[in-house]
Formats: sequence, structure tokens, C-alpha cells
Amino acid sequence: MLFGMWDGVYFHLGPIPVDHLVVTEWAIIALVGIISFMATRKMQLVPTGLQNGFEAIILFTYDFFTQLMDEEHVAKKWAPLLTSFFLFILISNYSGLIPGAAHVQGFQPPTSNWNVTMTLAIITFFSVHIAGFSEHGGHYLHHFVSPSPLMLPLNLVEEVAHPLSLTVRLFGNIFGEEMVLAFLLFLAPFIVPTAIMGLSMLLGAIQAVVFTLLSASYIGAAAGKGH
Amino acid sequence: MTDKPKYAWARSLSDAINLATTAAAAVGICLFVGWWLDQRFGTEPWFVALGALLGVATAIKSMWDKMMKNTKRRQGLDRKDTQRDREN
Repeated sequence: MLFGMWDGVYFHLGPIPVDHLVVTEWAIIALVGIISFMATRKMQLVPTGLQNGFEAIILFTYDFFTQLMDEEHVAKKWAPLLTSFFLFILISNYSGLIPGAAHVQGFQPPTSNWNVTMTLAIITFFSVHIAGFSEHGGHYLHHFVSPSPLMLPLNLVEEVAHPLSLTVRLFGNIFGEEMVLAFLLFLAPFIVPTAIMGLSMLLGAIQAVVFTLLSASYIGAAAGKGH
Repeated sequence: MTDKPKYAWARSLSDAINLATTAAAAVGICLFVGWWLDQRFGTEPWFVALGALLGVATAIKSMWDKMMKNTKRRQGLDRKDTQRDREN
């Protein structure tokens, strides 16, 4: 048990232990994958049903990220990753809201574990620098010594602070919410936790939006004309 | 008058959260590294003090950068509006 969370291992893949959070993550990835496959299986010129919904979502995300990142081609390049982040985090956050889920092994939200949030933040960290190098080439390194070489330590600390803040914010919010829910379920199993669960619906969506927005903002800043 | 850009709320929300959390994370990282170095070399409290200064300086620099960027963006939007008014 770590911070009251069950950390049991289901099986090993070679030397790598696979615990319940990893299995939940696989289930979430499979869910998103299956829905996406069903939406794009029989594409039609005039979309209907699921394809229609997906096209609306994709058009919205392209427009949204273009406004946020200023450059349309950068937004189109990174929108798939950012939208995947949003869907994964949203479903992960909500996976703990199934009534009684806090007590069932395998139903704790993966985002309530800092290993998961740190992994997402590290993906963002590398994406930011890949976006910077792909847009500006070697000149991207210049921003580390901008406006003066004296600023190098400050710029380096800022680069490390971004993934740390992404990690801690998402983990802290979801873990805290899960702990409050678990205590309330223990004290009063019926009706009382419902209000917190309603709040958790809002919190889960806000955290997914915030993580995606900040990742988009960091990528946009690295790939933008400012560098 | 400057037209409000689409999804301006998203940019504002992202800037606000980014500033607050980057400042906190920068101070936290620098203090932790300073504390670790002090423990390692027995130089208490010098590295912690240096870390606190570096963290606060990073937070202020981050805010300054964001402010300058937003000012430039606003000036760009104003310039576009003036150009459009002239054309009309």
C-alpha cells in the first residue's frame, strides 16, 4: 500500500511488473482505440453517425489549437497528440467515479498515481523540444541563452519547472479527490459522497482541459515565431 | 476597437495557471536542489539561500516573458485592426 492505494502487481512482462494501473490504462487506450476504429471504419463523403461526431471534434480541435498556438501547421501537427492527452486524462479521471470504485482493485484512476502523470509530462517535455527543433533547427538552442547568456540557469530551471508543475498539479488534484471520496465512502457510504462525485466530474474535466491547454501552450511557445 | 480573439478564455486560463504553477515549481526545484547540496557538502544554509534566489528570479523572469509576449500579441492585433479600418 502506498498512500492508501493498492499497488499489487498482476503479472510480469520480463523484468517489468504490470500492476492494476497499467491494466486500467490499457483498457482506456483500448476503449479510445475501438471507438476511433468504429468511427473511421467506413468513411463516407457525407458523414453520418459516429464519423459525423468525430469530424466535428477534429475540426473543433484544429480550430481551437490554431487559435491557442498561433500557427496553423503547428496546431495541425500536434493536435492528434494533444487530443489524445485530453481523452486519456478525461477517461482516466472519470474511471474512479464508478460508485465504489475506490475500493475495487483495478478501478482507481491512473492519474491518481504520480508515475502516470509524470510520464505524460515527460512526453510533453520531449514534444516541446521536438517541436522547437523541427521548426527552428539548431537556432532553437538560442532561446536558452536569450536575452543574455546570463539567463541560461533561469531558462534551464524554467524548462524543468514545466513538466514538474504538470505532474504535480494533475496528480495532486486527482489523488486528493480520490482520498476525499474514499473517506466519505467509509464514513457515510450512501448519498453523502454524491455531492463530491458531482464535483469530481467537474474537476476531472477541468484537469484534463488544463493539462492539454498547458501542453499546447508550451509546444506553441517553442515552435512559435518568438524563438 | 480590438475584436476579442476566438477562445481568448483558453489563452487566459493557460497563462494564469502557467504563471502560478511555474513560479511554485521553480522555487520548489531550486530549494530542493539547494537543500540536497547543503546536506551533501555540509554548507547549510548557503545553497538553500542561493536556490531560493534562483527560484524567485526564474519566477519573475517567467512572468516578465509572458507579459512581454502578451503585449506584443495585443499590439499585433491592434495593428491589424487599424489596417482593416483604413482599408474600409
